Amino acid sequence: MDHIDFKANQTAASYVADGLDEATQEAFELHMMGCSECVGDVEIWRAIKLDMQRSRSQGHGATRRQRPPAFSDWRMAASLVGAGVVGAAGGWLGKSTQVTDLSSSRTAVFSMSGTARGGDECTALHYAGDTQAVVLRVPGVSKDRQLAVLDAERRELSTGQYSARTQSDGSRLLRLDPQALRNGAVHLEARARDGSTEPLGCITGETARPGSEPQ
Amino acid sequence: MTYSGSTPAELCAEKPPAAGAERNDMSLVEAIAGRSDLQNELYVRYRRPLLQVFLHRRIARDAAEDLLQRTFLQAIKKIRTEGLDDPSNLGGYLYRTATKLATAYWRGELSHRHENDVELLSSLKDEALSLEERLDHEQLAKCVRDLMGQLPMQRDREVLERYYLHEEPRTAIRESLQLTDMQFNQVLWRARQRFGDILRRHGLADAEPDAAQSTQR
Repeated sequence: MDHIDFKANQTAASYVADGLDEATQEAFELHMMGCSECVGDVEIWRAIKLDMQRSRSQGHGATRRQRPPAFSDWRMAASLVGAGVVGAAGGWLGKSTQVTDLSSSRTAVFSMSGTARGGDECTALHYAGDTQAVVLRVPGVSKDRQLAVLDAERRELSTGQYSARTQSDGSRLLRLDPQALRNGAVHLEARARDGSTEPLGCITGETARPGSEPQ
Repeated sequence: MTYSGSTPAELCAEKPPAAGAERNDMSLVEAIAGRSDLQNELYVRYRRPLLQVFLHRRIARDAAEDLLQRTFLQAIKKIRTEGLDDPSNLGGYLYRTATKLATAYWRGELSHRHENDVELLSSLKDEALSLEERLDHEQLAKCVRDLMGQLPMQRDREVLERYYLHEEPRTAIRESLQLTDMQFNQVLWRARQRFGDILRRHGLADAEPDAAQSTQR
């Protein structure tokens, strides 16, 4: 394919949408090395995509103020600031503690959607400054893979900083020490026994003053 | 943009731009080997496409900056020591280097961050910066909002949202909306055209890539 084909097929738009097969992607990326026009198209489509995702995130924020939080999307993260919804963590924190700390506002629970996982940038989790534990539900991780958490320097966090377990629906429940998020972006990946890894996305922590509106 | 006012079909009738990239690459490799001032052209020409290669592999911007720096330094080192097998294909060499570094990054093989050359990054010319780096985020966000508000048909908005927000496959969107491949491309083409108009209306025409700078192959 040459430049005219790429333009006529809107290849830049498909590239940003992850809609190209491997061979076409490689051909297009090689073409981009010498074509500032196609690079410009890619930049524009990527800007559109990222802004749509950000807008949706903010839209959820607006909705949040009008109705109780739902647990289907981790972009509702801020709605859980100070909510102390430990019980929603699928019993992971122990049936004996079903009502533990619900009023203490020290645990923030988030759910990670497939869309958020596929985003190009880290997604910020907003929680209160006195949060002592961040719980994140990560769906869609193969059973034969282990969930690992790496710091911004790609070093695996220590076992004291996070733990993960599999829930009955196959999703993983990740418990993180908020301190780990204060040191920069945290990357999630699924590790297979053969050493191969699959990136699951990246998150950052943003603290809000207790009682203040989440952003 | 060269295709302003042209439909996708008309585009096919346009002649491809003249190629000069191979000759440019050779002179650039010579400049790098000879440590002349022209070597800064390396960043101007290749930073933006390589950045997209990293972003496409879901590498965050700060890490992508680090990998960009590694890519360029590897290339400069190789040119000055062994030389390139094919100096006329510098872009191809940089691309391969970048994709290997991206793979190594995700495998956790790049254990420590490379020291970025802050002076170099701060002195990069505008033309080496991506659209998002050149524009204020709020400006860009407003332009995207305008775009979504100005699309003439609800169907066009739905296509963009499903394609980029919900990341549905093209074929699934096409089938559910009963669009042909060409009609789907036309929706994208209209949106792209309209976004260019919006940028210009906001006085951001300079932010649009200058096709005249292209060195298409």
